[in-house]
Amino acid sequence: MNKTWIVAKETYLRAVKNWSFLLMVLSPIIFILFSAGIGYISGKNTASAFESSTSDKIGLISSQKQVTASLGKQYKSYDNIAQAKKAYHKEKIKGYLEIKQENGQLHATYYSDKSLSAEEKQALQIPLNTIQQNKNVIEAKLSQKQIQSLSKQVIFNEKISSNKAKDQKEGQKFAKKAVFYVLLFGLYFIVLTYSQIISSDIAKEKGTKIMEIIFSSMPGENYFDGKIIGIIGEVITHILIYVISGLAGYYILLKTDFFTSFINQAKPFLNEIMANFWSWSLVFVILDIFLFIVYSAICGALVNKAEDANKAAQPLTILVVIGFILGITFANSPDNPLIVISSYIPFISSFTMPLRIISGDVASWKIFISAAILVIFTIVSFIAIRRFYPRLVLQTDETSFFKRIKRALQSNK
Amino acid sequence: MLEIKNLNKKYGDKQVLFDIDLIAKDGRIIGLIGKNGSGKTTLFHSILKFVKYQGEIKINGHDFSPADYNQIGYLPEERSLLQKLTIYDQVRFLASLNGLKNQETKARLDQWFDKLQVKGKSSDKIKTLSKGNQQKVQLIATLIHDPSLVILDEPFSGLDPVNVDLMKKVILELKKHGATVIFSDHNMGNVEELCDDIIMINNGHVVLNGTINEVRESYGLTRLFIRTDKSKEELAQLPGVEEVHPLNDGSYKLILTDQSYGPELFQILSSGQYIRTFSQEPPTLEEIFKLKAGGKENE
Repeated sequence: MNKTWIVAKETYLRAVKNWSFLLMVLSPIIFILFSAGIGYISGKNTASAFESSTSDKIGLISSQKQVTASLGKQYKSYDNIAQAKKAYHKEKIKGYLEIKQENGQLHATYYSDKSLSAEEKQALQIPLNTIQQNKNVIEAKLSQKQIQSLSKQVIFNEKISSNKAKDQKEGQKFAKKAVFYVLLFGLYFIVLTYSQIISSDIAKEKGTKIMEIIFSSMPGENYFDGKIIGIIGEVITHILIYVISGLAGYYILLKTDFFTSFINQAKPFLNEIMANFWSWSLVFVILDIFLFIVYSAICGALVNKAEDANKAAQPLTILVVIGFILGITFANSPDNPLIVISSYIPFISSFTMPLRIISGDVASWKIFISAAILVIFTIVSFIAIRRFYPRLVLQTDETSFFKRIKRALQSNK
Repeated sequence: MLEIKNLNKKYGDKQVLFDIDLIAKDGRIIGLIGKNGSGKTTLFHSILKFVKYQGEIKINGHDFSPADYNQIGYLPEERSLLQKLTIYDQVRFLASLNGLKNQETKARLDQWFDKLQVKGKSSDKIKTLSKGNQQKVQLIATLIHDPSLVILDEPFSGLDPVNVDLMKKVILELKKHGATVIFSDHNMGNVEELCDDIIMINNGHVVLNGTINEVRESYGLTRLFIRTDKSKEELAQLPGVEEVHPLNDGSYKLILTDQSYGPELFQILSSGQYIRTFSQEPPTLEEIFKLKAGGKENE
C-alpha cells in the first residue's frame, strides 16, 4: 500500500476507534433520542391520564334507525337509558342523549351535569334538523317538483385571488433559507470542533517527537497528505453517521401514525430542501471545511504541546465565529456591504456567499468568482502548508514562536 | 554505502556545516563525535532529507530517491513513541511505512523481544514500559525492517550498563550483516570500542576523519605510563616531559612534548632500576576530542 494511504488509514482508524470520537458523535443522537423518549412517554401518560379521568364522548339512546345511522359515528350508542346511565356514572361518557319521536316530531333530551357547548349543540342540531325535514317531506306527500323547489338552497361561491406561482416561490425561498441555516450551523460546528481536535492531535504527535522517525521513512509532504485524507475521512464518517441516523429516524417516524400525516404534509417542503441542498452553497461549505482542516494542521504544528494547541487554533476559531455571526446577523439583509465584501474573502465567504445565493439577487458570475477565489486560495494554501509542515513539525525546541517559523523557512533553503 | 561530498548547510546567514566529506562503506561502523551544537544532528537531518542543503549525498552510488527510505533506520536522540499505543501498534505502523507486512512484523517483533530481552508483551501500552524498555522498543522500530543504512543519534543515552552491552551487541550484529552504521555518542569509550572509523565535527567543520588507530597515531606516542619510585617533582624535571599526572593505582601518566623523548626517558628511568611499567601510547580518543573541541590540551 502506498505510504500516504497507510498514514491516511492509520489516522482514520486511530480517530474513529477512539472513545472520544464515539462519544462526540453519539452524544447528540443519544440526547435527541433521550429527549424524544421522555417527551413520548410523558405525552402518552398525560393522554392516558386525561382519557381515564374524563371522557368527551356522549351516549346516544334512540330507536330511530335514521338517527343512529346519522349520529352513530360521533356518539356512543346504547340500547337503553339504564346502560347509558351506568356508563355515565362510571365516567365513560360525559352525558347521554335520548332521541324519541312523537307524532312525527323528534325530541332530543341531553342528560349530564354540564351543559353542551354551542358548537356541540350546533353539531347535533344540523343532522337532527335534516332528519326532521326528511320526515316532514314524507308526511306532506309533496310532488317531485315541490320537493325540488323546497330543497333549493343558496348558491354560495367563493372567489379567492390565488397566486400559485407566488406561493411556490415563497415555499422555495423558505426551503433555501432552511438549507442555508442547516449548512451554516453544520459548518460552524464541524469547523469549530475539528479545528480544535486536529490542532491538538498534530501538536500531541509533534510533542512526542515521533515525527523524526516517520519522516525517516517517508517524505513529510506525503505524510501531511495522508494525515489530511485521514482527517477528512473522520469528518465524512461523522457527517454520514448523522445523515444515516436522520434517514433512519425519518423512516421510523414515517411508520408511526402520529407523524405520518405531519410528514406527508411536510413532504413537498422536505423535497424542496433536498433539491436546494445540492447547490453552490454546499460547494462553498465543503471547500471551507477542507481549508480549515489544512490550517488547523499547521496551527497544531506551530506548538510543541497538546495543551497549547487551543491557543494556536484561536485565530481559526475567531474566523469561524466572525463568519457565523455575519451569517446570522445579516440573514435578512444579504445586500449589506459587509456581506457583499466578506462573500469574496476565503474562510468567511462560505458563511456569507450562501446567504446571497439564497436571496437570488447575486449574478452567477459573482458566485463563480467567489468560488474561484476560494478554490485558488485553498489550493495555494494546501501546497504551501504541505511544503512548510514537515520543517515546522520538526522544530521541537522551546524557542519562540516566530523563531520556529523563521527556522522552518530557513531549512528549506 | 553512504557518500557525502562538499556538504554545506546554512540557517539564514548562519552556516552550520562547512564542506563535509564522508564515506561510510558497507559493513563499517562510523562514529560521529563532536560537542553539543557542533552540527552532528544537522548532518543526520541532511542525510535524512529533513533539511535542504548544498552538496551531494549519495546512497549506494545514487542520489537519494523515495525507494531509499525503506533502506534507512533512524533512531533519534530523544525517545519518541506514542504513549497511548500498544507496542505492536506502534511498531506495526512504523514497519508498514518501511514496507513490512503485518504478519512479518509480528513474527520479527517476537524475535526482537527475545534478542533485546524486552520485559512485557507486544499488547502492552508504551506508557506502561520503563524508560529502558521504551528505548529498546524504539530500537526495534528502527531496525525491524533490516535497513542497510542505520543512523543512531546517541543510542546509549539513558541506558544502564547491561542494556548498553545489549545495544552494542546489536550494533555489531548489524555490521556483521553488512549494514552501514553511523552513530553519535559523547562516550569516547563506546566509540573506540565499536567504531571502525570516526569523524569529528567542530563548529560545523570536519576536524578528524579516519580509522580510530589512524587518528590516534597521528598524534604520536606522547602518553607515557610508568610505575617508578621517583616522585612527581622528579618526573616533571625529566627532558620532554610537559605534564605529570599521578594515577589512582600509584603509577603516573606523563605527557611528552614529542614521542622521540621516549627512548631517552626509558634510559634515564631504567638505569640501575627495575621499572614495573613503561608504556608509550598515543593519546586516547577522549583526549583528542578535548584537544580538538577547543578544551584543555591535556588532562
